[in-house]
Amino acid sequence: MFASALSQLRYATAVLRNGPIRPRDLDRIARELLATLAEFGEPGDDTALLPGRRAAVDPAVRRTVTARSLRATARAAVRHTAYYRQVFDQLGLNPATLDLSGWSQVPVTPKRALRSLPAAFVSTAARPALLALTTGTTGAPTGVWFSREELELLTALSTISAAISLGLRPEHTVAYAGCSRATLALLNAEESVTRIGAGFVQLGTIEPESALDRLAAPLGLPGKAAQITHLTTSASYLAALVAQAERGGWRSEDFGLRQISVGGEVLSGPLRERAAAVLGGQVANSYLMTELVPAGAAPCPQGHLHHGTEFGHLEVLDPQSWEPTLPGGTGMVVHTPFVPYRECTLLLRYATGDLVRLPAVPPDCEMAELPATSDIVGRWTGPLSAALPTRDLLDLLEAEPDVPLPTRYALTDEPDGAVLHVLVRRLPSTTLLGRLEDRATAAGLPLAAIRPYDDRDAMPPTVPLRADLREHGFADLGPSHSTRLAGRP
Amino acid sequence: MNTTALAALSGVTALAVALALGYLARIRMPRPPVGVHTAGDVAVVCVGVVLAPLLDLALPTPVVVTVFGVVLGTAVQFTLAPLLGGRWAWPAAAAGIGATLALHASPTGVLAATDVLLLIAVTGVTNLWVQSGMRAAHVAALAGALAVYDLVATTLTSVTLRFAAEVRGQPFAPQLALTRGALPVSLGLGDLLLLVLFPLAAAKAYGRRAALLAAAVGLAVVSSVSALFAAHVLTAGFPLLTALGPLIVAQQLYWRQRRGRERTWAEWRSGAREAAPPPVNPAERALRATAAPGLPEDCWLAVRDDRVVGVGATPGLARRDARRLGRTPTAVRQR
Ligand SMILES: [Zn+2]
Repeated sequence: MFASALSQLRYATAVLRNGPIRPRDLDRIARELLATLAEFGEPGDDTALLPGRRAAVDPAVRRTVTARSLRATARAAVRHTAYYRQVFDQLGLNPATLDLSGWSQVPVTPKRALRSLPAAFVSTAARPALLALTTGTTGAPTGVWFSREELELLTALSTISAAISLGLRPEHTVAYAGCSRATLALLNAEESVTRIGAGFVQLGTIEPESALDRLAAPLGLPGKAAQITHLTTSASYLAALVAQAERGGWRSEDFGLRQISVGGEVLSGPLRERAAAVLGGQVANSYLMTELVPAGAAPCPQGHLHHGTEFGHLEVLDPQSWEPTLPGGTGMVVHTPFVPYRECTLLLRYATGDLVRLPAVPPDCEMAELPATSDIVGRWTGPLSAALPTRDLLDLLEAEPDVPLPTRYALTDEPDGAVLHVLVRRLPSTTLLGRLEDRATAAGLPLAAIRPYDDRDAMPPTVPLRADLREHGFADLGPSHSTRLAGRP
Repeated sequence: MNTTALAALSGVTALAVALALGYLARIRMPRPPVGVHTAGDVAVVCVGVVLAPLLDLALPTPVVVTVFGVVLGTAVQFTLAPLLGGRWAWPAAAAGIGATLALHASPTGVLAATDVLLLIAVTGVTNLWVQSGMRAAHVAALAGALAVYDLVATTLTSVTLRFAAEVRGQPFAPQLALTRGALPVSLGLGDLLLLVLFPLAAAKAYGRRAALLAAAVGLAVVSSVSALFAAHVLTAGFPLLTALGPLIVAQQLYWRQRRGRERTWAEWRSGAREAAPPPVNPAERALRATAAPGLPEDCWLAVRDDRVVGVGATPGLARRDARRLGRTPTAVRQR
């Protein structure tokens, strides 16, 4: 209790002074939290005081703290990274004099800049230890270097978050059905889950039928729930699981799922409902991006995404003019993760490419004091992607059982306007098409036409999906391969 | 020594234990989001107990009175806060402290007021520790360490006696005294804390019987020592903790042996009579149930309570088969 109080005090002091955070302090807080849960079953009062859970803060205080954090981050970036030294030199900007109103003078950092030379963003003061590659859908993956200290800090923060937000306890088992190359997410999940004492299994993105089977199989362990209780996956792989479960006669009683956490892709309302119906449990989406961790966002019951202010600064900007998006409008998430939580790869005003809507009126939900946006509605690829964001199209298509999951679609800009190409189960599909057109009109989607296909090869290139980054088993490789392996001495 | 006062000392001890147990049963003290009593905290308490008399002997009287007053007032405040609400607890504690100071002309008044404040504070401090997860094992460790310390401080050296002489008659003196004079009938604060603390920790860890036994043992020690004073067998200070400490350690070893482990706070609150037994191992039953002859080969069998309740080509399909028959298997095994 005494030692834990000291760690919490040292942590709070480091945060207030923007000084170095000792991973050991965060680590101790995380471990003490687990000891507290073991003794009492629940944390004490005021969990909002824990790292990463900062609740209501006076707006004026928050502005001061944010301005100081931004200045400290900019100073570190200019002093220690090649990219920002050059950018600030060319513009004659002094990071020490930046305040919130002058922050827009700092140019937005495009994703391309980070992808083309990750080393230009690595602080010379840090010791890079882990290169996390994102599963880039557009050619080369983006690489982000993390130091050992950052990894330890992330683990401690994820442990606190999993124990409190997710309510993870030792009797639970978490299955991770994501690409094994998403190193950071995987390492973090494994380490924080097992620290809590819960079980962890990496399923990978295998054949959906095999994944369903593993989710359904009893674990047969004393002290653990009978089946896997939590599933972490991407939206498109979840769609593949839902399709297989609906087709294969699975029912929610076949599984023991309490929560399905979805991240990395746009999750539609209909998919969320269909997944809850056939797999069971609550479907929740969160926002965590390798480039931005530990900064992230969590959903509230009213459907907003609330962005934490402790670890980074959120801006929602017009993707072309980089002017702030007005309430009710659609803009891009531009984010600055703060030192001292980040010390290796430093980013200022990083353009994530993720599109969100801003609420038209200030939210009045329980998390109203944190900046709110909609869920991620799509990825910016040009003006069409903002006018017809993925979320609207998936809400339209995934409500139709005759559109196979995961949804294959493409959007093209033609002289008459935008055309939505979609793969359906069979042609002709007159009634389906009629329904889609009616619902698109009712939703006010600016579509000139919807074109159904029953052959994917005949379609324009469809949107890339994580569910396609399939990991094979020997059985998937065909008989010749299996025989050859079996014949080995 | 005053025989009536010696008998009353046992009564006051019983009252202190009853107050603390009643408080534990009814009052929840606030606790921080993160933090549970650890072995390190026991060490901090030990250091405090050892250093307090030494520091006090070295400091001038007004400073000592002020420090004791502040500490006692704070303890009374956090004890009363859950009862009166935060707004009234401070004025109540301040009134208690003020009243004690105002009585300075009447030595008996100071003594009585200090005793009341001490009883309230001991109720709060012991509850604060137990309610923040202090285990019976921690109390036993503390008791063991203080048993040795008390022997050194009271019998082998004169630290306790000099300290008692120094604070005698002062307001907020850390001893529950029933009489005045050169050799008062009194209990040191450390003695009182442990007399109350172990029954509390035992109630949480092992239940009502352990708590009653702990209280009875404590009372027996106090009464026996009182009897020896009444019979003039003992005449100077006696290291009570040296007698009580080993008995606390012995009780802890007995219950630990009997119950396997202590209950957690959560188990105690949920009304568990004993620490949760080790859960049954479904794999054992699965091995037994699937060993029976005549079961299908080359497939997965779903098992519940020694019975095969489903069959399938894969583990998941075997469970699904069982579910369709309205059964919930706990394990699957391949044949
Ligand atoms: Zn909200």
